[in-house]
Amino acid sequence: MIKATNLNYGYIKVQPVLKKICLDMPEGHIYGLLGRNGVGKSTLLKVLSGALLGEGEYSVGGRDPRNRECEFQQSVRLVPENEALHNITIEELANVTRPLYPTFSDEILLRALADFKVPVGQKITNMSLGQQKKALISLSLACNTPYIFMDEPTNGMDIPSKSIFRKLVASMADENRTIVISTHQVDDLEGLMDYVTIMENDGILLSDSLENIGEQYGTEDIKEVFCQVVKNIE
Amino acid sequence: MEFQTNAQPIFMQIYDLLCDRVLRGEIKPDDQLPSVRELAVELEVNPNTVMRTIERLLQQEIIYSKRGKGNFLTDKAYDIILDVRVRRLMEQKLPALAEELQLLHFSPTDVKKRLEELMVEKK
Repeated sequence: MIKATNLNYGYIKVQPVLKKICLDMPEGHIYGLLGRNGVGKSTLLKVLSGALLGEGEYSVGGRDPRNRECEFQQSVRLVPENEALHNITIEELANVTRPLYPTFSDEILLRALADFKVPVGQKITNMSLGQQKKALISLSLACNTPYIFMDEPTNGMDIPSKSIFRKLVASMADENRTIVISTHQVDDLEGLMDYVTIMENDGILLSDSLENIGEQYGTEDIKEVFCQVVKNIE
Repeated sequence: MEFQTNAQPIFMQIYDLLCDRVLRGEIKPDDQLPSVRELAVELEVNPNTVMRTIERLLQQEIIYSKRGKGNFLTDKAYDIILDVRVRRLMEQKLPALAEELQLLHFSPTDVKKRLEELMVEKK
């Protein structure tokens, strides 16, 4: 469960990026985190994963991310849009990541790397942009944490890789796992989402299951719902 | 002008896809359906969305579930699906096509030959 009441965050105090964010996200779902450029989707994911310290009340899996407890760190994995690169192979990176996550699964890692056809022996910095992305996503999925936050994961992926990505995520979804994916590429990921969370500058506009959204808006077409919701605010 | 989204919800697209498989004879009475997880991975969708499809199929008695074993096709599945699909063809798809044909000044005989050709090709 992810909960937030009046969560605020600003890189500088006078200019908040996140304002009055209220969230109530039960586990067992894949959330599409949608919103226009600059509304703070990436910032929200960083705050929820403990990388940035927000204000207000919020928790992930019952724990306050600001405390950065060991159990919390072991339960959350963030896949940022641009990750710091290492001049080592993915295998070497896995060797230093594995001990941090008790849930780490080499089975998932090997399957993901094989499906994505990542050149395993190559140093990450020598890989193409798309291969880097796939290597790092494979590693993050292998952490096998109950909370997985991904920021624009399909950016820079070719079409077959997007399909492999969807299969991997679909195979990892279960009732105990919460996956939040921020994206502009709704078409790429629409089938994966069963919940949709729409952000605007001053908070969350909508966060609900597609089923409820369908009843309320008369369509489950996410782009259509997004346009309706964002237009209402203007 | 208001545009309508024709896109069906994804769980209904999955429903149609499974029904197509039944109509083509790929799934027969008492055949076991792939598991929710297998379908989710194959179709690259959320397992919860597949569950919504399964619930619909159960409710319409197109499938039945054996506890702990999975979901199986009922004896009457083919007839139920055929009935729904024929009605959809007659009440929605053909009227829409008729409207388009009139707009383009086609008569039914104009398309009859082409239709026959297409159906032979498919066979």
